[in-house]
Amino acid sequence: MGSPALNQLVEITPSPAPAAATVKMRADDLTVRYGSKVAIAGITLEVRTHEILALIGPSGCGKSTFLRALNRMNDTIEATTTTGSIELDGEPIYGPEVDPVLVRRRVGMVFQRSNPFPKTIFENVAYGLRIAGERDRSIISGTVERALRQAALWDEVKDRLEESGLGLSGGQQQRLCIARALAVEPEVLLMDEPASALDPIATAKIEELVSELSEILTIVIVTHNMQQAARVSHRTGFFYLGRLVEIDDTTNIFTRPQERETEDYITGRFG
Amino acid sequence: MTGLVDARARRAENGPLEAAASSPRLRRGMRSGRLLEEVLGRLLATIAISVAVLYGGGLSYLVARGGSRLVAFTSFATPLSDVDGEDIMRFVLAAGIFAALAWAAGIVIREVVARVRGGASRKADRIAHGVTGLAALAGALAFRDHLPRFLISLPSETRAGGGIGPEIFNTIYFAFLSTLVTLPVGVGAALYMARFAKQRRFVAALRMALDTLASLPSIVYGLFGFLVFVVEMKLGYSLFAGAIVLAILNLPLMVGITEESLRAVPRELEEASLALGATPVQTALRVTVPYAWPGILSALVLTIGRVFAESAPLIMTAGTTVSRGTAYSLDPFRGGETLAVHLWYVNSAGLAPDRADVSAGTAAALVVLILLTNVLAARLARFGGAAGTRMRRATR
Amino acid sequence: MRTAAVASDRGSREAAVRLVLVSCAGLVLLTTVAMLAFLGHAGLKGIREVGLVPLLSGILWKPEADTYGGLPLIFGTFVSAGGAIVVGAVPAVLAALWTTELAPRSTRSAYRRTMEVAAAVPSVVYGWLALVYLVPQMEKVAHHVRGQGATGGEGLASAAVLLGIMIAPTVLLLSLDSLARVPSALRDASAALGASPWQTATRVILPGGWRGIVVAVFFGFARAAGETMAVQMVIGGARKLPENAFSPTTTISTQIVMDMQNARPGTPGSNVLFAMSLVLLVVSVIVVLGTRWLTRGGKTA
Repeated sequence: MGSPALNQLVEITPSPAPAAATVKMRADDLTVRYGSKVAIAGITLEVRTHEILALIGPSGCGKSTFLRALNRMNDTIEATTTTGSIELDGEPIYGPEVDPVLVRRRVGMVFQRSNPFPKTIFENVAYGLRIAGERDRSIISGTVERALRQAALWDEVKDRLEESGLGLSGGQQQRLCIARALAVEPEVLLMDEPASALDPIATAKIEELVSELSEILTIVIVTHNMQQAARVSHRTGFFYLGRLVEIDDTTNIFTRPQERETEDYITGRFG
Repeated sequence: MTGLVDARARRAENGPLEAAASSPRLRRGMRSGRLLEEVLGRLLATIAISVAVLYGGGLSYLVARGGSRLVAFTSFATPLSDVDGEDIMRFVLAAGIFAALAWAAGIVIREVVARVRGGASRKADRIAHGVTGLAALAGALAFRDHLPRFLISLPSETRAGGGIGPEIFNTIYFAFLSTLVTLPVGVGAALYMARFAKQRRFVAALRMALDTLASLPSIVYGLFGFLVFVVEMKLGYSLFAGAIVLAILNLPLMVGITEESLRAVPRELEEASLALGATPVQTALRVTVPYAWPGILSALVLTIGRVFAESAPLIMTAGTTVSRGTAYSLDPFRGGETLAVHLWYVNSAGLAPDRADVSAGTAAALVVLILLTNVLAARLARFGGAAGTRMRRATR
Repeated sequence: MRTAAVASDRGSREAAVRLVLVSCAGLVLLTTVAMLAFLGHAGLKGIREVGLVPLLSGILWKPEADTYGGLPLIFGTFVSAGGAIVVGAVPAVLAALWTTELAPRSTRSAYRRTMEVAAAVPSVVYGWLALVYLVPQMEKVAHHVRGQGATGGEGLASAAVLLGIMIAPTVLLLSLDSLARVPSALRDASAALGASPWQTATRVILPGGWRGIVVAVFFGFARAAGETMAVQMVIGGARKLPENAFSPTTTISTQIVMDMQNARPGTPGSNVLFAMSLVLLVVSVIVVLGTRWLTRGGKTA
């Protein structure tokens, strides 16, 4: 399995995965249908605390659907049915008494296309706090600064917090969206191809950011860029045709994949 | 990275919360403000549902109350009176009714055929069209003398038993007459604006004019028509004046939707035509307009809906009466009232003892006509895309 | 030679078609200008004959006595239209918000269709329904509120409710469009931050769509102020200021359509009606300008 192409991919060795591997989220036999069409079937996997889990696969393979299932964003799409279970800290998030709003406060999400609100930079980041009922101004402004610093955006925007978030560049907008998600202190952050619409420099900044953020939360990142997965993640899962083909440490996936389909994909034979 | 450290410190402070992870934290009851939201949400739902029930129920009741008069076919043949054109009118009306019924049935047939065969076929379309045409012809021949009396008799101001025959005729005739102006002028202006306009100030002035026209109350159109046609041109109350006024009233709607449909024509199609050596005008007439035709037709149908619905400007330009001699005359310089005007007139000046029933019948006929135009416009718009915005503009 | 001839022939036809198209556009412009000119001319004559101040502030409208005080007409028009906003536009906007943000998705298109038909129903049909079903109820209310023997039924309140019912579907549809134009990416962003549907609706969707809603209400007001026959059927036609909310009164358009049938063209009695129509014209110009102003700034928030 030691083909040259595989070795070339792993130029950057990711930081070692957290030693104590406690389980943050667990999906068990998860199936999602849009109408009668099965998007993902029988997915079982664990997301470990403070890890960066990358999900890769060709477009339409169900990786984004799975990601959206993790914070019940699929509920907002018409005619979606979800079976199986997902647990967050051992508590089922699809239980009958569960409020999806509370799930999303603990499991945040950053989208493929940056989507700042047509509000000021400050209000964009403060939004999550305000909806969570925070009224104390000093707490809000302190948190906004912290979140912007965590998103490595503070130095660039500290003098124009009252300007519209739509006036920022594409990369800055995406980091604003990350800051907005961080402000509510989620325990898990889901990222759906967060850099796919950005140029290489902005992408590098986002990747650096992702690596640092894993110190404070758990990250699941969907990407179709295999180098990105190799660079930032601890573990990688490969989705194909709505199934989870393989999940393992990133190094193993890219150097010693166990499945034929995985190898074909990462060596570029399809996708 | 002080931020990160801060956050970790904060997280440590939050320790007790994490420790409590084993107890449920995602339950509905855990979120503050949820109850208030639920109450407000229910309140909004109640308002919205009552609004829908009010309109849906009201309109259904209206059709049910007056509808019987529209379908009360007689077993005996109603003798022709001495009014010119009555026989033709009966034939056309019967054909119209049966064509509408057959059309509705045709849609069902087509759906069924498509389901059974899997996918719509040309053959199914042709069969449906054929059935529609045959049904219209057969119905007209067989039932033209057995039509509901209400639909074919003349109105009466003082006695019971008045009908709406001339009003139906006038309503349709108005639609035809105003279309003669609305269609060419509307499409011409829209085509100019969408493809040939060069002078910005002229276009800006044109848009301002269209916006102003669109927002003017219809009574103002009535005043204008009254002043120009009835008084200055000494035409008296006439269908001609009414039709012109309705055409002007409909121009903003017609131009707006047509321009939108023309702009929606894929640029590549036009470029292909230009690349083959066609001139811009040839391209516009042979490629752009035909491609946008469904949209243009749906605009036309919507303007016809407005012709059916308008009353005030017609009262001031075409009058409120129907004279026996010219009830079904094609002469555009006679006066005459439409269904909508009749509904008003019967209630404000009519003395007939059965005017409640006459009103119900007239209102039902109007609502059925409006329903037909709405369904037709929606079906046409589906071919041309952007159906929603079109319907919306029409309802202004 | 031949190709040149073909080309020039084609060129002249080309020019002819272009000319036709430009004239169509010109005709639209010309008609508008002509309309405004005719109305303005007759209206100004009327204003000169009666005087602007008496016309706008006089409280007696009596064409038989050559007395033209337009205040009752103006009052009736604006108050009934204002009432219609309260009765019709407010529930319509709330219903639109519910339909786009909170309602089960499956109900949305059915809701929209119902309202499209309701918006297209002729206003005289609403007028007749109001005459038959609303007016008797309103009379009961008037007796209940103001005591037996009080006038009621046909009057200002009935007109306001009727107009409200008439404009609600239009306002609702325009509001729906405006709310639906708010990008769904913002809905997703808000939901992912843990906002409830209600919070998303009030904090993201409403701020994003308010301009369109204001425009919708503008249109509703203009339509209510301009409505003629339906109002005429239920407002009572008393040419004086109403004593209370249930009193019969009149509106500009009602009075125009009623008096125009008796006024001899060219007389003050006729010209003054044109002058009153200028008030309606001003309302629509304000609506057009307001709409333009609101939608122009619509991109930047």
